[in-house]
Amino acid sequence: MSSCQDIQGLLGRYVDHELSAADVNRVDSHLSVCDKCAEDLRLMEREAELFREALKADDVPAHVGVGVWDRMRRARLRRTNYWWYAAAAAASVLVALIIGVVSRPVPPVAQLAQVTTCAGPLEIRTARRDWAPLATYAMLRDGDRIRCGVGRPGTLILNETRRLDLNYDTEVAFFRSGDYGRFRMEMRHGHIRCHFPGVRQPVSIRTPVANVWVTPEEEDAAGEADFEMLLTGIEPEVGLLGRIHLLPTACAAGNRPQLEILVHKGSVSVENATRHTISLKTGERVTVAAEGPILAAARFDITARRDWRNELAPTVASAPDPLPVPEIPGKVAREPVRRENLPDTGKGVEPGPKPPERGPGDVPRQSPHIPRHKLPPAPAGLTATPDIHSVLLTWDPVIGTKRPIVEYGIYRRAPGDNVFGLAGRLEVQGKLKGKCMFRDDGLSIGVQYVYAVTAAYDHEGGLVEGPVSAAVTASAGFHIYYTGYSGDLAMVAVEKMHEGKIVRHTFHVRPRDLRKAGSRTGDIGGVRDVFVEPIRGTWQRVAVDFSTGYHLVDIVTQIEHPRGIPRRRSKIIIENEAGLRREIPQIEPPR
Amino acid sequence: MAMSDKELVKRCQADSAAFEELVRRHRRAIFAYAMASTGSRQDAEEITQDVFVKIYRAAHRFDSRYSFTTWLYAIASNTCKNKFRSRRKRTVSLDLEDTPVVPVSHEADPLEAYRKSVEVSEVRNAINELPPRYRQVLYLRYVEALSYKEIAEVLGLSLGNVEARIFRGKEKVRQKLLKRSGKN
Repeated sequence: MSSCQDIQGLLGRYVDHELSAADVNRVDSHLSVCDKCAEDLRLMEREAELFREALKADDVPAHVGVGVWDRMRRARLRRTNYWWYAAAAAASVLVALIIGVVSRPVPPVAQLAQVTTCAGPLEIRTARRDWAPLATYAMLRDGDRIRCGVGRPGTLILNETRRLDLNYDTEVAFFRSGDYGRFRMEMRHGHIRCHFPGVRQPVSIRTPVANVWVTPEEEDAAGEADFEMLLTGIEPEVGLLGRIHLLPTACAAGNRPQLEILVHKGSVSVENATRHTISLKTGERVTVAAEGPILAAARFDITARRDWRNELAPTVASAPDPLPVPEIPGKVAREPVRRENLPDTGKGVEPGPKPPERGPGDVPRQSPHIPRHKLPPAPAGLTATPDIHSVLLTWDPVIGTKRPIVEYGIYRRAPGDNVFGLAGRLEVQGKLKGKCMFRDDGLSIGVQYVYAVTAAYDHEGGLVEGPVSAAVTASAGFHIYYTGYSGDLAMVAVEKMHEGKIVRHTFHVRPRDLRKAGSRTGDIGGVRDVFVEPIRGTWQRVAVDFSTGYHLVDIVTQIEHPRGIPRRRSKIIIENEAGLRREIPQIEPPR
Repeated sequence: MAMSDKELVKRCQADSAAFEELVRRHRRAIFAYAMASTGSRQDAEEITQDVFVKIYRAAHRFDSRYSFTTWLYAIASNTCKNKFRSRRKRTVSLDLEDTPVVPVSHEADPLEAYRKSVEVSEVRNAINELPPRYRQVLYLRYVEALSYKEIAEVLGLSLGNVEARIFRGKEKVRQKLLKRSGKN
């Protein structure tokens, strides 16, 4: 009879079927009497299964196959230099593209959101540099093919307004003349950032459905208050519906409520609603966000155990926000308007709101005794996008009113201000096409502003202003670029707005200088979130948005020696005021 | 009746359909092997394409007395080696994909599927930290189910060397997982 020690030495090869028949018999006979070794075997088999799953690449890009032919064609072209080969190859690839597009099934999806790139540029950056000099880009949406433009590899900027209706499970992809490439797409004014590492990847969007926080009036003796979130109205027939997250936008590190609810078939229904309680301290804030098709089916009711104000979004209807909000950068949290800080919302007695502060040259907005139902409605769909030293606001134009809207008022509140001030006015002449847009310029970096807008029409020589829209928050930022190292120097570039133009300052710095206040790069501090993407060869873009007090701590370079060949890898480390650190590693560069 | 791999290789230089079939059959496996070897998706894509271009060019040299799989992975292994050799110092971009993507599951218990995917993701992270020589053997063993002897032929190693690499590779993954669980 073999001992456990002998058998343990054979188990690895037993699992791998590498033992001789005699040894297999030995192991089998031992396992039949030894529970401990049998348990070890079970664990090893489980381990082998995990290895198999972990090493499996189940999403091989389809363009890998196409690329084989592409490479062989290129190799032939280099040898023969027959231009008509190129034309034939392009034609065949185009046909393949069209066939691929036409035959692609359209997924049955529910409408989720519309994304508009407004009038700002839609930038498409390509991460690969070994492409043909000219490339045709097409955007897929629900099986339709939209030709986006023709450009050279690198950065393609489309200075035109484009509207893209997105659904969950909508597959949006970019193509290059039938070949697929790596794309990193950023719609800077559309509030969405997508990354397409492979052929097609469903766009995943988190949409905030409520924003809750505690004010001093509601707190208990311990300085805490609870709220409950009730999910109802979810149809149980669908499979995995999605996830609900809490995005702790302003919580101390020690009190970050963690919640991730997977909503799937049978777990939540109208009769079987789930209820979750979350504790918050005064001033802390979370955004309840939903991800997945759940938005089309669920209803979110936010209730409080103690006295909560009506302004604190007690109920959020099932209708999703019209615009999705990206995780990074430029997170814009939709929050309910606090009435005492905003112009009057029009209760029916007083004609219009009373903006507490006026800029010089404002038109007085007074017209007595206008009933509430005759006031212009509040604009909807307000979004705020952080930009370089500015915030770009967009909202849906108010249409269908008896009197034409002639002006929108844009209100802004800075932290510490008790009241909203008029940030600007957008005069309307004729009928507006697309979204209304207003850029609030010259803002301080790192300050979080709250915005709301109103619509107004002419009445007896004055303006009648309607109730305010839902408020949004945003802060201005600027861009930092950084390249790799040269010796112990890092290259950093900061882009700033100067006299209406974007000016880029480039300098080599020592990494430790990045930490010094008052150094040339001292104003890099205060990063809320960082995302980096390759542009034009070696440059990396770091978009910075200042909200919750992250700052750049260090850029660390490690030297690896795979197969004896040194390889340099770097990472950026950022840290917030609570000491929470986040590391951003580097990956391989574009070629 | 479907043609065998060996028949496809014989025909592929004259018959593009045969070559396409060969690519279709094996591109996933080669891509996965290249991913396991390099840890970089972009490199894996290029290596996969290179491997099939090489197969196309060298098809007439294939000796049908030997295993096609061994030949295929030997080419893939050499291509990976060349890739490492040709690597030059360059600046690199930063990875955004630090959030694990959990695919939508249609299984009976999505929560269990989610837990499993997290577990697999941890093992994958640990494997990705291994040197390529360990990742290669683990891939060939556990995904392609090659025997120790076949792996030795593919990589040009001795049988004992293969066995030692598999053993050490597994040990290293276990240690990494233990270390992580200790931290948490």
